[in-house]
Amino acid sequence: MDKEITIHSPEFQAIYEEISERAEAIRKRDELSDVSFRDWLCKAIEELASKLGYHIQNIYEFTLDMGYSFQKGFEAGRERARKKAYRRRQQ
Amino acid sequence: MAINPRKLIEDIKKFLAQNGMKAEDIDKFGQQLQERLDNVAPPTIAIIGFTGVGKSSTLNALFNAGQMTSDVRACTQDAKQFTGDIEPYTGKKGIINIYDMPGLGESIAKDCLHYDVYADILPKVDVIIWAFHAGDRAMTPMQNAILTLIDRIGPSFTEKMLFAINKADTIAPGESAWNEEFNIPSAEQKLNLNGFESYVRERVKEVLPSWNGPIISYSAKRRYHLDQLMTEMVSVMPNDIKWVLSELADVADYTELIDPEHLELIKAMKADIK
Repeated sequence: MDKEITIHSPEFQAIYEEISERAEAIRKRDELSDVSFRDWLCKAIEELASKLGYHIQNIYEFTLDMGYSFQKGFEAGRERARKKAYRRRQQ
Repeated sequence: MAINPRKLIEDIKKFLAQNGMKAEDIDKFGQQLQERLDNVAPPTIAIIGFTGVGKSSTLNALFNAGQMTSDVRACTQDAKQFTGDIEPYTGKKGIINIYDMPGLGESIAKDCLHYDVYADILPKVDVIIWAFHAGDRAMTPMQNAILTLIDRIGPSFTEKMLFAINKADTIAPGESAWNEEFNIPSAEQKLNLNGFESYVRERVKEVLPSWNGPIISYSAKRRYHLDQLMTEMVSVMPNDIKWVLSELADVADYTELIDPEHLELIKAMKADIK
């Protein structure tokens, strides 16, 4: 179909909104998953270490700095972890 | 997917060494953590809805990038005797356990039978999806089920519950109104979808006044709002296993169904939004 779409077209606004909502949904999912995985990992590390006779301190800090974030990889996760409210909530 | 188990375990081993763990214990630790990662239980999802509401196509769209699986059981749309059996669904990234629950409202006698099975299964699953056709206003069976189940098993199952309204593309004024060029609802359909979501929420709140869970209109066929649906599924999961469901997600990309003439525009929008 031949149709010129400009930023003033109603279709432009509608599709932009859809793509924005989708991006936001993915971002939210990544964040939920990051927090969930860190919680799971902390618990696993604590339990396994305890079975071996160790008590590990600073485990939450470690998982934040480790930065296993979904989608964006190690370095981006480390940077994001520093900025996130999660760390502030822990303080 | 960002979790690289080998790298993860190496980083943790370094951390443990820095914190004074003995070398032989570090090796044992690494093996045991690897086992835990390998043996994480698949998430369990109960999907409630009549045959034909699109349960198979929804699973394929969420976990297999929209491709039909080779598992015949996952593809079938034949009505089957409901036994309450769990069925493993093999998505592209791994297994999800599905309880395919029949819809309610066929008859009083059948609903009573189904309540027994719901009461048995719903406490065990991680996510409960009530699936409806867009525009299907018959909410009484769902309301009765919720009240009956709360009576039998308590209200905690409602915390992991969401409502998924499939076939959003068919809502009034009808499928022909769908904007196929951009793969989005027409303005009128969008209004009607919002209105229908409000309608469903009002009906749910008649039996659960404090419920504020997710209600998502989507189309498995058009891949519309699938990411939103997946995100809400993750959000209602228990916290410690949200990541497991996210790991298994392989959501079909709805922009692939947009007219290729508009690809450049879509790319520019995505870049702008990032």
